[in-house]
Amino acid sequence: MTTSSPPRQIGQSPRRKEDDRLLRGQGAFSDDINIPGTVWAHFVRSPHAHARILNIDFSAAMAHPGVLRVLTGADVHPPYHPIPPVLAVRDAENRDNEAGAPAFTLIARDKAKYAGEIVAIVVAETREAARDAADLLMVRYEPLPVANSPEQAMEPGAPRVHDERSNEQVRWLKSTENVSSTFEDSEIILRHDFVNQRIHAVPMEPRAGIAHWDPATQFLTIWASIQGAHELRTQMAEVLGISPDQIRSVAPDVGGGFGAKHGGEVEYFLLAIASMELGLPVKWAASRTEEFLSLSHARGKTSEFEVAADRDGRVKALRLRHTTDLGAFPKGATPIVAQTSAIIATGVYGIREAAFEVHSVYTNHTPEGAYRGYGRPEGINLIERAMDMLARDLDIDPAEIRRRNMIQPEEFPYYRTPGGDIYDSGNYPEALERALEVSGYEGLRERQREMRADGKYLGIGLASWVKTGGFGPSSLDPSSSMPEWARVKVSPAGAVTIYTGSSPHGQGNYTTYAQVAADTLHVSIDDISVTHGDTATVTYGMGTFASRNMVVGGMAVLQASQKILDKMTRFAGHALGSDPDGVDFTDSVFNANGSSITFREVAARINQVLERPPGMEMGLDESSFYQPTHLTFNYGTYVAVVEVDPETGDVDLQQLFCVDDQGVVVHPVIVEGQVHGGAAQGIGQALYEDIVYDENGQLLSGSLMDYALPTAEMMPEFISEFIETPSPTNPLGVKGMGEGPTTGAPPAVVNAVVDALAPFNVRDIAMPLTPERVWRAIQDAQNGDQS
Amino acid sequence: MADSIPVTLTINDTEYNLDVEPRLLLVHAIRDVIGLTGTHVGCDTSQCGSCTVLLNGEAVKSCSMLAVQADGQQIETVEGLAAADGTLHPIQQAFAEKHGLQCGFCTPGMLMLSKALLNENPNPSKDEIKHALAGNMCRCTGYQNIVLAIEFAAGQLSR
Ligand code: FES
Ligand code: FES
Repeated sequence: MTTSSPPRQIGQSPRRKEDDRLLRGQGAFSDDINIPGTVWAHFVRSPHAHARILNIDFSAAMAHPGVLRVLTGADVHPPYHPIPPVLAVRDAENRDNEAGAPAFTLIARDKAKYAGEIVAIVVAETREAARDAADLLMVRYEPLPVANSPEQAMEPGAPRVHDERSNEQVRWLKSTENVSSTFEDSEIILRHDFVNQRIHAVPMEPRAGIAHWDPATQFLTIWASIQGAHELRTQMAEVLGISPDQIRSVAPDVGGGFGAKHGGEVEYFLLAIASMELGLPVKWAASRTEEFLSLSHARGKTSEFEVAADRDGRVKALRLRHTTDLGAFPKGATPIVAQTSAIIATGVYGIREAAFEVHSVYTNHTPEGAYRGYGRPEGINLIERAMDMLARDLDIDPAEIRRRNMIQPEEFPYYRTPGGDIYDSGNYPEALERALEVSGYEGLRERQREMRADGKYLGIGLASWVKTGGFGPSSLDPSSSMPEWARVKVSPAGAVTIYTGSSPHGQGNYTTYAQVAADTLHVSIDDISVTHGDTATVTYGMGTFASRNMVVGGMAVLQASQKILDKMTRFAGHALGSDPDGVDFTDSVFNANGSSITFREVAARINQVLERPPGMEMGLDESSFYQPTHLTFNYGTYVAVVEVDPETGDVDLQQLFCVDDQGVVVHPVIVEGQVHGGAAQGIGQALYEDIVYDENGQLLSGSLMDYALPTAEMMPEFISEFIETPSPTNPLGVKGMGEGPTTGAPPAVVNAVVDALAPFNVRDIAMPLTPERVWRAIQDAQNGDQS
Repeated sequence: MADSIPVTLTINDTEYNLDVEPRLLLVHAIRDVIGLTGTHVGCDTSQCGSCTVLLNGEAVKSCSMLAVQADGQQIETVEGLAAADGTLHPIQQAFAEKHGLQCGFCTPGMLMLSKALLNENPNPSKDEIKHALAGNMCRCTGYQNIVLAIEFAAGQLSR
């Protein structure tokens, strides 16, 4: 068969199909869903970071009007099970996984392990009654010493978060052969300790859910603000001890997730348990304070970092000791985040020798989880900060030192890094040169010199970064292979419906999946609808995370669309008296032997038994799994421009130039929006956001009053450009891209601020670069205390 | 629990007579009692602006006032923006045109804030728009396209 299509949809930017409802206020977010007879849950949370629970007296709470039930740990564990552990770890033989993972309990039984852990659930007829009654619950605690940082938690005799095991969950070592000798032979050794602060994803929609166990049919329906309905169903079945076939799980409209809503959250299991106990629909909507206390945090790491280089700034080797704060429980695969984070620390550079030592440690903090970038922002930040330090020490321009070290285009495809990542494709120097060009780098340096002469401090910061996409390939540990599923069906009237197992929540895949199918089937995207996020209509699904929606989910849509086209072509051949190979498909019309039949005619007539070729089933309804074979690696170079006021320490971030290569760009406007949003989150980390605990493990930044979420005035002008090197891993040529900007922005911004302050000899400032920290760094540097 | 108090709210030109607890927040009256769930709740400290509605034409955060305080007043929510025939308001169209929304959770608040802003200042500069957005948070867009959408809407409305 031959095809030639109407103007390709891929690469265009049609208006988003998802917008209309959302603009009318007709979205259905979890808290918007109401079922008659719903009752409300309120979670009572530990005020202590670490404490024995001596007694819970709920008599007064039970006596409160409207209260239906109080559940405590004694009611939940047993009979219900903890969340089953996921612990896929690369290079498993190097893993010290002592005593396995601790049970991820839903509710504290004997002791509370972080401030915010649930100790009881009050269910009442109204939201207000549940909350009022919760205040009447009397819990007696015996506070215990707190494991308040991973370093302290690893010391001998430190308080144990889980009584039955040590605090260190993962200790992992990996090294190439000649690291020590390379360091010994190197003229230049740079060593620096970095802190990557803990932050919070802060999706604007706080979590909410409603669980409805119907005792008559023994069937559970749960709506929840999550990134994957199917995963919740799988976990739910294990926790409740029922079959997945007794569960319908729905992710309705979800107001942002960014990784934090990936995987089941204890609250959703507890809603289901409360509903099973009462036989009523039970609902909960988190307050923002609850979100800060209990929705996973991320990024908390400390790193001892060393690079060995020659006098020309060519980096030969690195050593990294990377320690991560898991918090109190292992959410999802979080114990291995530090490994993925460590191995990406060779970045976009051809560094041949590397040694990694990783420690993942429990503390009495809120559990960590995924957050846009999944460890890579921390790893890339190390090498990108180190490149700038090295450049300064050797008096080489930051652009030039990067140029000298980059992996070259001819080393692709499939460049293997010392850590074991396999970079699929790219032209790293091109992204760098393009970023220098669009930012007017030379002119900026000139302006910087002029402004310095006037006592003004302009800073220019570069970051060249790389980030994985398209999880999870079969080439990794088989336990981490994750295909995605799609079904495409065409109605007799010609309407196309896509069912996808991925679960977009802002990424625009309602539109971009329609573009993919439109290019294969030659239909208007207006005639395509997309269904997702409901186990009742979507047979299989893995969900949305790890920049996989287009790479894996999009490929499944492509494959299912191609199956539809194949069947239509066979039908058309039969109808036109031709072999399928002799059929041409152009502008939605099948042609052969001088006659033709339209897409719509095939869609209608394939249902007529007398028209079909022998053996062909009626209908157009095909599904497909796509199993990626390799990860994809999007990359880019960002240039940040700041002006710093040394008197106040105030940073004015003026512009962020972003040159990204995410392979083929399906919808430039949506992709640019992802760049803005991802970079905004990276800027938040660089300049504003911080999860702060006091010496007792109490969260100090637990509201939007105390946690500096960026607002419009804190944002620079974003200038976004793309280069396209198609990924060889998949026929769409896409690489995924949502997480790259979050990876690239922080080091670009920090490098810019440190660059601005070079005349003051400031060498490093720990994120977030608040005015106070910037001002102190200037004072310290002036007093000769190097940071 | 204190006794209920009767209040009359006019929302999108429809009059609602309710009996509410004195402590009931306006946003919960709108969402839970009346069932207009387009107005969202994103925080508990009056920071995020997801709950922004117009009260007698002015943008207010409906999480930071009580339903009883709105007794007898005119309220407009996102559901009242489009024309009676369903045509999107120019501000809504501008957000679609300029990709001013991703997940859409902050969007109703952004739209209502924009309407109040453009009523007051039909031709705002970028900086004025950013300043006006100080109380409305978005975690998805980085704000650039929201600012562009509001500028674009200003242009459309003043034509
Ligand atoms: S809900 Fe956040 S300001 Fe009203
Ligand atoms: S579009 Fe998601 S919070 Fe603004």
